[in-house]
Amino acid sequence: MIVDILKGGFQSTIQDCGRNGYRSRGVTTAGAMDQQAYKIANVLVDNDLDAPCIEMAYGGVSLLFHGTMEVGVTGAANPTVNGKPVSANVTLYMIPGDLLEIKPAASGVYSYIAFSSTLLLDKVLESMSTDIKTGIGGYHGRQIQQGDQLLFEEQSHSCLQQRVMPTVFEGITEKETVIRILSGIEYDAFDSEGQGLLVSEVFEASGDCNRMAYRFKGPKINATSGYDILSDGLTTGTIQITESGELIVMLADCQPTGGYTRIGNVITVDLPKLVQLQPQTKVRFSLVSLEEAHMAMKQENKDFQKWMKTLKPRQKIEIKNESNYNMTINNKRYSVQIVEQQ
Amino acid sequence: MKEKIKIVPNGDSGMSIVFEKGISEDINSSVHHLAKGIAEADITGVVDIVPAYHTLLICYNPLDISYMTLKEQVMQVCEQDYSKSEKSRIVIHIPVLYGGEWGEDIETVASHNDLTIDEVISMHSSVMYRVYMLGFKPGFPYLGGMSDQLATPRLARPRLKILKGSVGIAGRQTGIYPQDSPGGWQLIGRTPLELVDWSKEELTIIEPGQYIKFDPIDKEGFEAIEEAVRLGTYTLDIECLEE
Repeated sequence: MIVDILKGGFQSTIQDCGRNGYRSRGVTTAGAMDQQAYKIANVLVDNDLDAPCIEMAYGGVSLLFHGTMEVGVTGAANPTVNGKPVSANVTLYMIPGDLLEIKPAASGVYSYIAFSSTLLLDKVLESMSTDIKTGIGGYHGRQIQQGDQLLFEEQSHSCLQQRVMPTVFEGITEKETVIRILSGIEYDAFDSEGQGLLVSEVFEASGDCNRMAYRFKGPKINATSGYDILSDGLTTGTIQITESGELIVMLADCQPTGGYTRIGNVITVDLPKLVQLQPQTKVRFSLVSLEEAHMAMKQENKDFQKWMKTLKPRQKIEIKNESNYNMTINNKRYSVQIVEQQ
Repeated sequence: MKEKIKIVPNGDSGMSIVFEKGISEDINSSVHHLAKGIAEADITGVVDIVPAYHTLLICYNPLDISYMTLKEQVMQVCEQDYSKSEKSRIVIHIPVLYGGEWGEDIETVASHNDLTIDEVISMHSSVMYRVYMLGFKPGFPYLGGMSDQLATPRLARPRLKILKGSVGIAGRQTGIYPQDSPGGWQLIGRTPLELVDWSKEELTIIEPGQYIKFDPIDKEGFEAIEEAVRLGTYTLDIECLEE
């Protein structure tokens, strides 16, 4: 089964949970920037939570389906099917000839498309995530572009009841996003003034934000004992202060080791909020404890488990005959699949 | 393990074990032995172990193991005696064709340090270099042990493309480019070996904590090894030294 890429968008790559376990070999983890939206997309189509998705920055992808499957579109996306707006965050049913287009949303950056059929691409070091810098993983180690074809395993006939993302996972739009952080490993390299500025002042996402790192404009934070450290392992969400006083948050494509002073770490649960900040969005950082960070993580996991428990599994259908129809009734579009069962 | 260590959180999914600060073989060897011990302990919830110069980062999933439980298990590993395994060092021999089109800047390095090209080659290839860590890029070794008499500043204008396998000098450091990439190192030679193999689970032929030694080869030797690497018949020359 083939899906044609009619438009590749601004920066669209295949991503999954990331390539863990190889930082000590110098390998970037990569993986979906917004791990929450990525996971939800997979749940919408009854996938394993680590199945590969298309990740887009500011949408822009057009896909032509040559087979039947379900898709889940999440994150900063306004999807249309055959030109008509459809809901994001619910299971969508594609049939041959359907055109799925992802328009960017007013707020947010990253969006995801999960596919119920298995994407036929090779894993590199146990992951399908694209590492653009190194040129490995995903679709030939690069962004997807116009003219590419994604190949999927044929899906056996089955029926998946429409799934809807619960409201608990909806992003809340605030005037000033508050990002929770932990004090970093070199927190004491900053004096009380610098430590104070980090949590009292407003920072603004700069135009220089990408999968490697987000840079923020704000007051200059001075390190009292220099800005360079001996190269050390980096974790996603690490907040570094460079000599020019720039505040940088390291993200999915950051190098696995680094050498700038680390004032803090964004907590895992707030990383999706951070990566969805468009340039010029204002943020405040708020210091929390390790216990609070872990509590928030457990709460999010609990919400996920609760949702998963309500979901009906996919039902296999033994069929004799099937036919697909596109129908428009009162300007609303319906795709009808008639299946003659055994 | 007798060294003083500090165990601290590094974000909500990382734990750092910080040894005495500095670039020292002893400290770094303790880091790698602890890394090995933690890997062997196979602790549930640990997703990555990243040894560096004087620190060890453990990435974990807090939904699988609590920070306190992980800390206790790490401390148990610390209490075990790893001194016995420290008595041998593994040396990976890297064949290098020095100078010419393979090391365009060898004359710069020689003249900067008032040496002949042969002296540069003999000084660069007579030392065992410690692989303190891998990082920055896949398979990129941070090496220690180069003679200060070879130190040469980086190129004023970095090259847009440096071929993989290139061996270079930047300041007081020496290293190998595992992939084609832009860079400002003074190039003194090239190895025909492939440092990174994406189809292999261990990925790199060099592991952090090991040593490497550069063996000078000539053009015929370079071509023969290059062909053997291509055919998959090349056997890496690994030496184990008991101290």
